[in-house]
Amino acid sequence: MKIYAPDGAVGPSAASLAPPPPVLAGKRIGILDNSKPNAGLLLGRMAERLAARTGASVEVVERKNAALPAPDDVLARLAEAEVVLTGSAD
Amino acid sequence: MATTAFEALASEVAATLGLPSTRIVAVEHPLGGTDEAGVIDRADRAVEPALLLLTGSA
Amino acid sequence: MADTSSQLLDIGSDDPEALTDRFATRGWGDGLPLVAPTPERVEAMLAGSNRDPDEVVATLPPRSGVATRRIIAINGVLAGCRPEHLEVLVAAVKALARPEVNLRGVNATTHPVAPLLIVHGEVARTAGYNSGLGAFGPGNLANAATGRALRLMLLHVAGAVPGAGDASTQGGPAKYAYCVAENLLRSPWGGYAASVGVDAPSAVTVHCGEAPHNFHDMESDQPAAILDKAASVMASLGSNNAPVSGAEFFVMLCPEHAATCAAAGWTRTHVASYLHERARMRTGDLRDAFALRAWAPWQETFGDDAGMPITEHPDNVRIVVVGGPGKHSSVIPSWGMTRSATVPVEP
Repeated sequence: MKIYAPDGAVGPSAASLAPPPPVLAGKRIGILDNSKPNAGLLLGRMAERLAARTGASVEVVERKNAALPAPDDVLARLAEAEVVLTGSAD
Repeated sequence: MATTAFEALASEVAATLGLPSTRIVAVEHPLGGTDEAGVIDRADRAVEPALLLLTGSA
Repeated sequence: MADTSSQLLDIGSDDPEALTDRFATRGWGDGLPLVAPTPERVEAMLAGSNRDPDEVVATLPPRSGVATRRIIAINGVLAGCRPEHLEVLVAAVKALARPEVNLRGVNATTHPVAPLLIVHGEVARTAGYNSGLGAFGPGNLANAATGRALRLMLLHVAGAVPGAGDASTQGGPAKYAYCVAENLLRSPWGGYAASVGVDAPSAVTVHCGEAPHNFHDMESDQPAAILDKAASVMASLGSNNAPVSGAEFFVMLCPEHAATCAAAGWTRTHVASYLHERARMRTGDLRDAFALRAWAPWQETFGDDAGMPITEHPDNVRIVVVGGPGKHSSVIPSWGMTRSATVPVEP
């Protein structure tokens, strides 16, 4: 018996991952806090430790609602950083 | 960053967004309801894995 | 541009269990037996319209799956829909894809949210939807199959599969099939769609929220006493409406409760305003419960002992008449970061 697959094609993806920097010294770290409990504390501590370890600096700290995409102005500010830490889910 | 319970989901979502090689570091679940010392400990343990993902060496 | 043509699979046996098992190995299906979407059945589903089956209706996140009319028809067949349900499904998919619905968030959340599909107007009658006794289920093919088809679209096309694109901690029964028709004949205030500016013979509304919370009032012959019960259901720390004050409530009034309100001269607006006024909680209790709040700036000026409306504005309280004889109505709280959408059904 022949049947149709129910899932349909996948639309084109607009995104591509930026290549990682070979060293972090002198680079700017950004944080995008997804507002979930303890996210700010976790991301902040990680960023601080990464900066201390590598000679990078924490330059941008932004916050967003976990349920919505980040606003354009938040993304624009985060784009000033070479590395961004953010959280997913709870 | 994702907790261990949501690491697979984060990977799946990244893949469906066309970014299957998104750099994901997992920390012990849960984060909500964990005290400050526990959160800091998780963050400190995640630094090496994060460095490895970010630069290819820790 | 993505290839929108639909893939044909040879699954060998026409045994229903074989279909369900084959689907399960691919991560498809909703756990219930399926109707095989053979080319014959899918073409029959599409035959009532001369629109292009490969017309793209929407792209559904998080998978960015392309929902063509044919893909919608395929999922309709799987769910047990008949051809007369197709345009309702197409309209429902369009509504879900509206940006204000925030389908990406709805699908991804740990909350048990499911899109409620409400069918309005002429098509509810002609295509056999149930707006009366037992409208939320079980038993009516149009309601059950259409609701199920919408969920299959989210599973298959949007990729909202538990553990993959759907993180709902407990899931929920409303995620199987969640579709009702508005009881237009018994609505004292005309149709809901027209009340929100959609002036069409047929329409659908999607509201992403919880399963219905019942309230009953068997005694009162005045609106206030009935609606106070609805307000007490709305004013809850347990729903996302509490920390997200811009979110909606859908209050599904049974015909007898609606008639009591109308007999006292209350319009839909009166009912909504009363509920907005009465559904309040102590501000301090809300602040204590939710460190993270999406409140309007004016709400943060309230003192702790003041009564805070559970939703910012009466316009967020939506009234729809549904059901048969009896005095049970329901409140459907919102997931929060979503708005309902009403769109016309094309003939």
